[in-house]
Amino acid sequence: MSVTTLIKIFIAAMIVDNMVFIRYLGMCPYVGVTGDMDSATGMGFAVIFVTTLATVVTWIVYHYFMTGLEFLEILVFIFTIASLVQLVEIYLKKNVPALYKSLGIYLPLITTNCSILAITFINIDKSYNFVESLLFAFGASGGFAIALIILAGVRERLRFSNVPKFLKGYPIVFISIGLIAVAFLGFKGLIK
Amino acid sequence: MDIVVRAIILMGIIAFLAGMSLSWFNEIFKVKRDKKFEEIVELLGGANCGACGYPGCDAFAEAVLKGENPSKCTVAPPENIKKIGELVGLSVSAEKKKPVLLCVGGIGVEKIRAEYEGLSDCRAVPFAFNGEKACEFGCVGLGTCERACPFDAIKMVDGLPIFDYEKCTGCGICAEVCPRNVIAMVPWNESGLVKCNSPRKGIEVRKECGRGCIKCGICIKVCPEKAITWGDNKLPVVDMSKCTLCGLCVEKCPTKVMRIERGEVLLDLDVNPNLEVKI
Repeated sequence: MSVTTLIKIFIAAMIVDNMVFIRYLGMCPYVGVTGDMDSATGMGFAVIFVTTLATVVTWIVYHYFMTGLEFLEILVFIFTIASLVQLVEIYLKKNVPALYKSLGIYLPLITTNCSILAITFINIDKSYNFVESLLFAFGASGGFAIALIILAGVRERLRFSNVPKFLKGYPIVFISIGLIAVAFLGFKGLIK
Repeated sequence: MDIVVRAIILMGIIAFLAGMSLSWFNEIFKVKRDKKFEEIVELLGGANCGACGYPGCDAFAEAVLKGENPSKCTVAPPENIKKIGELVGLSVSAEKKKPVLLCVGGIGVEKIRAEYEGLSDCRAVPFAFNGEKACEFGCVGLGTCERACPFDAIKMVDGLPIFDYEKCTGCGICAEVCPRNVIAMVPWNESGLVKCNSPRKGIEVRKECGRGCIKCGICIKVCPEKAITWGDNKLPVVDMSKCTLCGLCVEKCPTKVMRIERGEVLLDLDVNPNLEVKI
C-alpha cells in the first residue's frame, strides 16, 4: 500500500467516480436541499461527517462479526447507519448545540441517503483495507459535497434567468444536473 | 440450520445493542427543555416563515424566553401573542396588519416610456433607469412580492399584485422586499388611504399616470367630519377615529383612488364599482 494508491483512491472517489454525477446515487437529497447555498454546504459537511463515521463502524462490524453471514450486509448496514446517525444527533443536541442547529435538519435526511449505504458497500466489494476504505469514504462524500455546492450555485443563477415556461422548476434543474454530469465525464482519463 | 440461527443471533445482538445504546444515550444527553418553550412554540403556530428575523419558530421562541418582544411574530393571531406575553411576563399589545398596494397604475393605466428587458425582478429595476413605467413611485409590476410571499397569498393581475386576505397572515415580507415601498402595512380592520404613492404635483402625476393622486384636495374639502388632512409626503391621510364611513371622499375623488375600510365595509371603487353610500 503505497501513498500513490491512496491518493488514487481518494481522487477517484471524489472526482472521477463522483457519487452523484457518475454513479447517479443520492439524487433525492441532492435535488432536495440544493435550493440555496447555505443548506447545500450544511448538508455537504453533514454527509462527510456521517459517511466517514459509518464507514469506520460498518467496516469493523463486517470484518469481525459477519464472517459467513455476508448476505445480511444490507440489513446490518442500514441498521447500523440509522442508529449511528441517531446517536450522533442526540450527542450533538446536548453537547454542541451550535453544530446541531446547523446540521440539525439534515441529519435525519442522511439516515436514508443511499449514497452513504453505497459507499459502505463499495468498500466491501473492492475489499479495501481499513485505511483505504476510510479514505474512499472521505473522498466520495467530499465529492457529494462538491456536487451539492456546484448545483446550489447553478440553481441560484437559474432563479434569475429566463427559462422557457415548459422547463421551469425541476425540469431545468435535471437538465443542469445532466450537463454537469457530462462535464464530469471529462475527468474519466485522469486515473488509469 | 446453523446459518439461520447465527443470523438471528447476530441481528438480535445488533438490534439489542442499538436499542440499548439509543435509550441510554437519550438518558445521558437529555436536553432539559422549558415547559414554557413548548407552549410558546405551540402558540406561535409553526409557520417557520422567518418574518420575525429568526430562523424558524424554535429560534424565535428561544429569543422570546430571553426577552425578545413576542409581537415581532406577525403571523400568529393577536390573542396568542398576548398569551405568550403573559407566559413570559410581558404586557404586549399586538395589532394585526394587512398589506395594501398604494398604486393602481397597472397595465393600460400608467404611461409606458420605454421597453424593459432586464432581470424579471422589481429590485433590479432601479439600476436600469427605473424601468418601463413613467412613475418612479408606483408599483414596478414584476412580481417580486408574489415570489417572496411564503403563504402564496399574492397573485399578479394586469401588472399589479392582488392580495388574498384569506391566505394572508400579515407577516409583512412583501412590504419588506418591495423596492419602492409601495405596499403599506395598515391595521387589519380599519384603514383610510389614497392608493397612490407619488408625492409629485398634480400636473406631473397627470403626465405619468391616468390614475394617480393629483393633489386636488377635493377629499379634504368634501369631508363633513374634517377627518382628512395633508400628510407628510403630500398625500391625504384619513383620521379613522373621526371617519363616519359616509363615502363622499371616495365618490368625489376625480381619479378614484380613495380607499376607506372598517370591518366589513370596504369603500373602494376598484373593488366595488356600485358603491352604496351610507348615512
